[in-house]
Amino acid sequence: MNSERQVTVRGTPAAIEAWLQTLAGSIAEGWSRALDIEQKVKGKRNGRWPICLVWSGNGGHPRTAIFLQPVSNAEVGIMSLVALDRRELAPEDCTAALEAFRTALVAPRGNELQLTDKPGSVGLSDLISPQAQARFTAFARTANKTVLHSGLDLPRWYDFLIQLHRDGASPPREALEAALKEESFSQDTIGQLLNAYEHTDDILTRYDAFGESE
Amino acid sequence: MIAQTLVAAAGNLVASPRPLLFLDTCDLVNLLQVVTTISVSELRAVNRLLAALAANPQRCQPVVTYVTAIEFTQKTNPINPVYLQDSMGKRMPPDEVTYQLGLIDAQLRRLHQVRQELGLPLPAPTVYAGLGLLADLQTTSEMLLDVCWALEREQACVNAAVQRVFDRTRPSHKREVKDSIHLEHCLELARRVRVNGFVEEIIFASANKNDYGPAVAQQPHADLQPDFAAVQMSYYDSLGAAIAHLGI
Repeated sequence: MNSERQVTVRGTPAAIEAWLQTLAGSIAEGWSRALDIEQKVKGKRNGRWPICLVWSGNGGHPRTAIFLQPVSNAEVGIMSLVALDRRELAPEDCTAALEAFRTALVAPRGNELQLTDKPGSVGLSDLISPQAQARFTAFARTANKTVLHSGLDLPRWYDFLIQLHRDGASPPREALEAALKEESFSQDTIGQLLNAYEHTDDILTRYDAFGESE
Repeated sequence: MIAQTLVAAAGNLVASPRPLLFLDTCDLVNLLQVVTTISVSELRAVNRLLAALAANPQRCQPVVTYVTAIEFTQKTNPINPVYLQDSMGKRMPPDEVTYQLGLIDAQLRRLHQVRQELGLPLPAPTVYAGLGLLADLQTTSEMLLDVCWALEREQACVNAAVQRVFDRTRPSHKREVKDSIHLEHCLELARRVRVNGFVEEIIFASANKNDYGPAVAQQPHADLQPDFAAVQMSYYDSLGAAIAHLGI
């Protein structure tokens, strides 16, 4: 899947494992396992993943490779959809391939497995370093959520921003806003924190350049 | 990695057009740093790119230059005689990963010891340094390098790079020549394909924001914008974002 959608197959660990075993042999009409492609992707990396299945396509929809990657022992994600005979997949091709996947490979397992398709959301922790995440958590756990204390809360927020700058990370404003909302900060406080975020990196970058020129 | 002359690379792309994705050394090295400072989404995007290219080699063409290959070795292979021990007081990525994993293991051991002293011993901890994480990350970055074309040295591009050093123009405003050699080869390939009617996307990815950035609205630093605009080449300061832009 590209970064905009997150499609996963969920079930109990036993149901997921049993399902994966069925993908090893003769799968279903119109579907095959592409071990040669899997080997190319794995290279020298050890392991079972990714699993690559090929859908033969139908109508105007092209042959499509579907790559599976584990999320947990109870969830397998569709990592990528790739057209085999043309450059790109149109959105309707993706939808058709996923529907074929659901019909042929998931639905026959009855209630054991569920296919979920939701918009992909990259959380803040995916975008920043563990060190920055620790600083964000330290700030969020202790800060006053409605009125920031200039001597206690803001320095911790600045520590987080400095860590981002040191890491060279600039997570999108939306990701930061979502993380602050999740921590129950008030709208006014979020505005104040994001305002500081937007200016700090510029100032620190300028400060770095200032240091280099002296 | 497949060595290509500029002539051969341009000829291939014009005959078989596909999006062109230039990568920089830092994009490859960053894959090791997902353990420490770099977003995990970079690794996720590279896995998607490798999958896409394994299934359909015409999906896009990743390209580096000979400079990238040399620099990559210098920064990631500790047994190579030119391996840089450190850079500006920082540990090199493989050493940093080893250090961080050792730190995590030591902290976990301590937690287990404390828990044991408190009468509630925990199951034996995983030793993360022994899981082959660094080796797998190195393999992943090598696999990415392996699917790239590496543009061979072209003297005119090297000359143009040296001129940037003399003129102190980006990315050689600090008198470093390597980035300019890389950029001049990329620009030259872009020029050669554009002049032959190549209309596919050309993307230059480099996490080196100090020299190429900022990446506001996929624009490089203002000093570089004329060069990029002349060949309709966009700039991304993250390889993950560049890959996502290609719909991969």
